[in-house]
Amino acid sequence: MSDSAIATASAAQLHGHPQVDIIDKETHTHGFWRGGVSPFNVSYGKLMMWIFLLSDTFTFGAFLVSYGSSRFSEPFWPDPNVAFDSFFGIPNMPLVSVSLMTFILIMSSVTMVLAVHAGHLKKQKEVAKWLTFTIIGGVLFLGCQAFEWTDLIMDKGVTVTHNMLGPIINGHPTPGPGTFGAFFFLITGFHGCHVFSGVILNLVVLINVLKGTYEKRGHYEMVEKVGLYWHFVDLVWVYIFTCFYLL
Amino acid sequence: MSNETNLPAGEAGNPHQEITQPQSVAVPMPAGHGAHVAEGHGIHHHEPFITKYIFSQDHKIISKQFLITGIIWAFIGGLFSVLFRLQLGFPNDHFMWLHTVFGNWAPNGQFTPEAYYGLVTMHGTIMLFFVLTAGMSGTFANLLIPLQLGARDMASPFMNMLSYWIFFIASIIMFSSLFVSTGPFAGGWTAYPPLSALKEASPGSGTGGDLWLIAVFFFFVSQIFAGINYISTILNMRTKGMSMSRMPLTIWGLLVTAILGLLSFPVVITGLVLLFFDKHLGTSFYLNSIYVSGHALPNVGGSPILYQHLFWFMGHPEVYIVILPAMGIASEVLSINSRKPIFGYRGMVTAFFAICILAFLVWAHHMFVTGMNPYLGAFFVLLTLLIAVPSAIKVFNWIGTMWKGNIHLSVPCLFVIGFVSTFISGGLTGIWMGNSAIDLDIHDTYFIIAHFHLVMGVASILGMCAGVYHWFPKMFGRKMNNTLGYIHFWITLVGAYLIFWPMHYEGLAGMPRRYYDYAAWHTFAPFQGLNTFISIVAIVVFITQILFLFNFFYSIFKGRKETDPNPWKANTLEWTTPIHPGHGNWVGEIPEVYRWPYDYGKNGIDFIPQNVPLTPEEEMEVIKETQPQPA
Amino acid sequence: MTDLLIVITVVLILIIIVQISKASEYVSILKGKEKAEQQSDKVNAWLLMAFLILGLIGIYICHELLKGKLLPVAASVQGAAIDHMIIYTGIITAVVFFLTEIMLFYFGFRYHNKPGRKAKYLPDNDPLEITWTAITALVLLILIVFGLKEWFKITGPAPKNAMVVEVTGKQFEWMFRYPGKDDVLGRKDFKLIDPAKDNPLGQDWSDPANHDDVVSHNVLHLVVDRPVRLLINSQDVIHDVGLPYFRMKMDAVPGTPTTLWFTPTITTAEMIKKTGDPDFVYELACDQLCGEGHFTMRATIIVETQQQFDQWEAGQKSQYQLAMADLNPSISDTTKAADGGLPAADSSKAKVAFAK
Ligand code: HEM
Ligand SMILES: [Cu+2]
Ligand SMILES: [Cu+2]
Repeated sequence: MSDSAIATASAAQLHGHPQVDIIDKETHTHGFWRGGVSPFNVSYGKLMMWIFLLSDTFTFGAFLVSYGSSRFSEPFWPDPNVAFDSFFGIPNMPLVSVSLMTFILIMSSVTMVLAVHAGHLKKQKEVAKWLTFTIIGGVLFLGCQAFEWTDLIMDKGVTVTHNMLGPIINGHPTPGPGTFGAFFFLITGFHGCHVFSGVILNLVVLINVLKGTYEKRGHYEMVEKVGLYWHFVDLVWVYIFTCFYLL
Repeated sequence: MSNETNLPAGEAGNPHQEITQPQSVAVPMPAGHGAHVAEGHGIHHHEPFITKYIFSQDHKIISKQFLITGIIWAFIGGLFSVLFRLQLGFPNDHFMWLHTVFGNWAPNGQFTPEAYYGLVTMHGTIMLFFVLTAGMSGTFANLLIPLQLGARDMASPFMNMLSYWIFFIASIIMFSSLFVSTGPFAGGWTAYPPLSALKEASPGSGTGGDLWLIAVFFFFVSQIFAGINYISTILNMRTKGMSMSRMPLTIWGLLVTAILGLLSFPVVITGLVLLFFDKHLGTSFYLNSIYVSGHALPNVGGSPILYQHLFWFMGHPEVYIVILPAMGIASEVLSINSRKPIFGYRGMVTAFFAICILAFLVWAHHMFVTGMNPYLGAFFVLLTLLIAVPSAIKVFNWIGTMWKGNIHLSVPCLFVIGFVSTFISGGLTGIWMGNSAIDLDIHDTYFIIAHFHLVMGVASILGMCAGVYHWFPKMFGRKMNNTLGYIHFWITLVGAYLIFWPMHYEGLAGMPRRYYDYAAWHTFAPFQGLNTFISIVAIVVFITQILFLFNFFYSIFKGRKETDPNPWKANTLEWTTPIHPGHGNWVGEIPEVYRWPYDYGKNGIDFIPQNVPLTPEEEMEVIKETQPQPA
Repeated sequence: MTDLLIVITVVLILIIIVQISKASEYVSILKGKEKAEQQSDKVNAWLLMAFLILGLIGIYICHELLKGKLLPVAASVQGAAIDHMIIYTGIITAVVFFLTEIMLFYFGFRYHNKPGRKAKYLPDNDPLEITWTAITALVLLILIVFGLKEWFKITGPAPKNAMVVEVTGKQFEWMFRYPGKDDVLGRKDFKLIDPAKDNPLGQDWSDPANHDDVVSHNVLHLVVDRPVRLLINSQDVIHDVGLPYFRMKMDAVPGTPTTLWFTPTITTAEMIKKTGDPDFVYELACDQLCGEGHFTMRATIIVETQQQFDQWEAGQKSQYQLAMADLNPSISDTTKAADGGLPAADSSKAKVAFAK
């Protein structure tokens, strides 16, 4: 048996039995769980992506919980309205730039949904179009983030070790908790890496869409997989946004 | 032939007879599907060596790669323990050959304290992560998941290969850390900061510590990848009829193992990343108000306890990651050798799930003496002692399985009995320490060493050996030498008890773990004689493992050829493949499954493989059981 | 030479074992699989039985040999309670241990493979399983309840009359600070630490509460029958104040002070009599790996009467005096220097103030 035979054999295992007609002798139920089919009615690839995302949730979760524990052990924490008050260099615009970033990211999720939908309909051009928008969204987000980091580092004096956003004593700013910057850059940076790798993945998929790889394959599941990842990255951002900017 | 005798006359003529024909492959595959192409061998002999044995995507080869890497690491880890036991056993002797071999680790024939702590740290890391996690899960998950579930390979063979090679990179990095001039990492396998963060505090926390961190990081990544694969394969790739409730307990164990790893490794990875930042970017996640080697550090605001939480959130599930595959193997091997179904299958699966959930909720029992809030401590006491319940259920079920069996005391079976025995011995002391008040007394003493070596170290090594002896014919198509196996078992079991049992006493006397020398201590010096005794036994046990190494590698090439595709007369699907399964495992169609894997001795029949359809009588029984009773 | 001899003997023994094993495999082939299996099953069944019996005897011998090396009676109120817990937990677990291990090995022996023996098909037995689960859970719950009662007593607030001692760990030594007559420990800051200037703890000399604080190195003085509250610190890495004779222990964490209190009940002198060991000392052991000198982090504890303690304390110079003597005669200078170091060092205080 050759590799391709194995591949088709396992593909048949996955896709081959859409209607479950055998009664489980033991439980007398029709069910996805009795073997021979995927219990979730998804391919192993998508399942693996789900499982990976579950695992990644714990990474972000651990980061955020660590952040929380550090933050609540500090008597003072910088006010986000002060720390993030610059909109591309324009001061006194608290949280405007981050709102824009969030909006961009959410919109890119919407375009991703449209890309996946187009994939279901096997519309190659549409898929390519929406994926392109998604990629642009991702790049814009990263761009905004770069601006924000620059502002924090250059203007606010916040780095992973230092923090000049401490309490004002007798009119003089004093150093604040160093963990503020450390956690901020670590967590948003880690998220940024996710966005960045998402953009790369999307690009690879886009190239394949344009080359017609999925057209030949007969399905656009790859788009769905990167879609899952993209939505996850988006969702995580909502939490990070809440933890760093709102609370 | 013996099977025939087990067949009651009344059953003759039913489909069961087919499987008791000793000379046929025990797979009553539908006619016309090439059921009798027994030798899958040769399917692939055109493949070049490099893709067949090195960058192979065949789960069976990857399994062997994990096993052999694991065995090599076990040898190194074991050697390290013998070396540091030399120091503990003979603190006044100078072994000049140590200097010859280890150079400035042992300047005058004695290890320096720094080298000693390096050895201890490496021993712990290697044994726990590389041998009992990667070696154990890697070997048996890769081998058994597809074979026992009836899949051609893992869900993603490529990622499977990747996970091995990432592990391999981790191995190389860890190994290279032994040759750093400032020495390997020496802060204990738990790597608590600030010790692990400050090279001023311990030279090993410099480059050696960096390499340790990177290696362990890669190791965790590889295990996450592997786990994703294991879980999706188990959920998605089961053959027809292999419902979850018909999975062998090995698979249940491996599934829960993979879930534990999947959800706990990311957390420790974050912990390690924070540590890396503290080491190299000057952050203060774990550092606060430190004055070391003559100057005050600028770091303020961090908490070393945060690391411990992140670490033990992985650490406790990790110990179950180490033991659950062994539990699965034990259940399977014990049932086969007792010629009896595993007792309380449902209880076993429930216990797995209970462990899976509780294992995430007890981590802080390793931190009772860190000054935690007593109410938090109480919460963890409660859950810690509760986790003993599923462990106890398992023990009772194993003993129940042996009761009134017809126990073949084969080598794997003996290893399983040893496994259960040491698991009991070590598990019971967990109940002592789980009660936080007692833990105040015995935390970080030799009592802990005794506890976890018996319950986890020895037990899973015995379980792993059971697995290797049991599945060796499947992996290599040859048999291992039985007599050597028996000798290996008995010396190991007796030795393990001689080593670890007396340690309870040392621990109760307060003897702290991780001490290089006790001579200056009025309280602990009287144990010197005992320490010497333990060291001698440890050396003997280590040498015995050479017998195993020999047996293993010799039998791969020169062992007696296995001629029986189902040498243990087992029910699970891996024995329905040819003796040398090719890539793809089954020739022709994958067998379908009709029953659970533990029909041993049912209706007087010695064993009924899973792929044998139910008899009409059995079907009637099932229907009777599941139909709602008329009111 | 002897080394070489040992190696050669070991290698020879291994070779012999391997050869015998190989030969015995051939013998078993000749005998036939079935027969050989039955024979080895029988041998191993007896070995299991032998292991069980010798093991039980071994446990007894081990206990007899080692019980003399265990610690003497607990020297604190809390320790006595913990010992009590250990005893009843030990009895309960021992019962389970003996029951399960005996069954395990006995069943292995009793039901080993024999011609004509048939295994009983017994997949489960719900009532039995539920019973043993329930009993296990119940026993554990009882242990939890008693254990937690003790835990809360031990970790609860220290009595009002407790004396306070500050314990500081550093690589690789213990330092103890007593509050002196004013019963107040003076302020300190890790940035002021300067062993060369006789300020190993970083005491802030501008705080008058510091002036009578006595510091001792590696010797801790405690008063018998008087609760003592330890305030535990570390300067560098995590250490652990291990008190085997008092059955207590607490980590010393840099940046996060911890506390622990207990009531010593037996003076060192009484313990010497009790143990009949003239060299007896209470030892304090570091129980958390803290670097290459971990095993040398030893302090001794002297438990004495209040009178003896007072006498000892009166004979001590306070650390302030030591430091000032060092820097003689310009006392004012040092105070200034210490003050100068303050603003940067004490930012945390400022933070607290601001937050309020
Ligand atoms: C029966 C239930 C168990 C209970 C109640 C229990 C309880 C505990 C407790 C409280 C500790 C911390 C002791 C200390 O450091 O002071 C501990 C340590 C440990 N346990 Fe268990 N345990 C149990 C079973 C297991 C199992 C099944 C394993 C492994 C398979 C295991 C492996 C370990 C290890 C490795 C450590 C020490 C880690 C270290 O400090 O280096 N335990 N156990
Ligand atoms: Cu644990
Ligand atoms: Cu220490």
